[in-house]
Amino acid sequence: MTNLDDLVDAMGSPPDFAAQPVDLLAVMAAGGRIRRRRRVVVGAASALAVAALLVGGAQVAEWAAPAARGGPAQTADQPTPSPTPSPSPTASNGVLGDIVHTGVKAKGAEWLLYARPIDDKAIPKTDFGIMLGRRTADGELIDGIMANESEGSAHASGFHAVESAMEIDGRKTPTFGYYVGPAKKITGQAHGKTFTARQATWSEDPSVQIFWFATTENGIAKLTALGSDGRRLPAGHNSVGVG
Amino acid sequence: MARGDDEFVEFATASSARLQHVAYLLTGNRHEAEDAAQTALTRTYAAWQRVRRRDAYAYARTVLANHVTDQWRRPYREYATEDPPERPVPHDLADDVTRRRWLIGMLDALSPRERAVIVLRHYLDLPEAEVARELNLSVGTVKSLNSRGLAKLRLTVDVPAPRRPEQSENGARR
Repeated sequence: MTNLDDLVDAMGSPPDFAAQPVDLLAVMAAGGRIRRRRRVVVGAASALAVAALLVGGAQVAEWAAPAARGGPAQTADQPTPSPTPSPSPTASNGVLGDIVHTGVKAKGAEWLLYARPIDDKAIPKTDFGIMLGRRTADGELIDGIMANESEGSAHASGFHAVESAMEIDGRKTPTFGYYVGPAKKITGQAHGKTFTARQATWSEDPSVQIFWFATTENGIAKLTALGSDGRRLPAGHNSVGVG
Repeated sequence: MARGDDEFVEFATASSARLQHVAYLLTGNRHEAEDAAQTALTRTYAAWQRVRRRDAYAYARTVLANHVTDQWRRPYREYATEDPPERPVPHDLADDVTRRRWLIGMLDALSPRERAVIVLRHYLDLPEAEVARELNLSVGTVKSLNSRGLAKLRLTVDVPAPRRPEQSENGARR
């Protein structure tokens, strides 16, 4: 055995070291916060960039303030820091297409689903995400959490970036996401029961089915999409994540 | 718990000890190793949708290496020395635990970057190109650090010759 072999052997079982158990709940909570922060920041930043092109002055400030919560409000007097993407013809307040009412309420406010543009070099094949948000009593749109594809094309057939039910600022959220393809029925399972999701076709792209479960029960998984003939459609990324 | 989370828990349970082990070799400090492993797992969970179908352990290890190398950019800690640590006396060398402790202590004679290259290249047996990618260095730099680190270790890791009775009697050294 050479001297290097001795060292490698010692590195294999250092005498003063014993691995400690890791608090996985803390790990997942912190990891989920990173994911949520990344998505909401991407969503809010894109919304601001689009708005700066659309209109100016008080109108921008009026909605930019809640969208940029936690940072300075951007007004038309301030130059945009970088080139902005071309706005969708239907973009309004950074929302692409129609806002979907879920009928699921938390603390008196209904959860809404809507698409926001995404322009992030790290995920070049993702140009939109589905945001879960709500309106305040004043009608301001408050972003909650965005479900967006982070692996492959956002427009590929199948499920994308499904968000598990969770709690945001003390408000329970439903499991939601989107499916690309002619899904007539979407189901999920939890605790031995099968739940059928509610669906809405995205006004900007009829191949995209925005879906959510009317329950805030956690643990919904095993998502399945069925076509009009009852046959199972491609699953895509049908795992359900947290954060 | 969602299926993706189940998979992550399984992955984290299986890999946390290995990650802590590598982190300990890189830092030489148990508490820093625990923190580094926890950070690597946290960031892996944040990217789980993206990495779960690939080599998640390689991703976690890269995060770990990057986290440790981030320390290099903080106020400089110089470990490098040309002077070998004092060798244990022959009696201690007979003790396997003492010997291993001494060998691991040899890593402290290396600079942080040399140490990282030696651990990744020789303990994890990664090719030079992979080490370069994980540490964000050029392959040439990895080669240079590896050869410099090995040169230092050859100075310090040489196994002392067995002490002979006549040596202890007259103090002669070979």
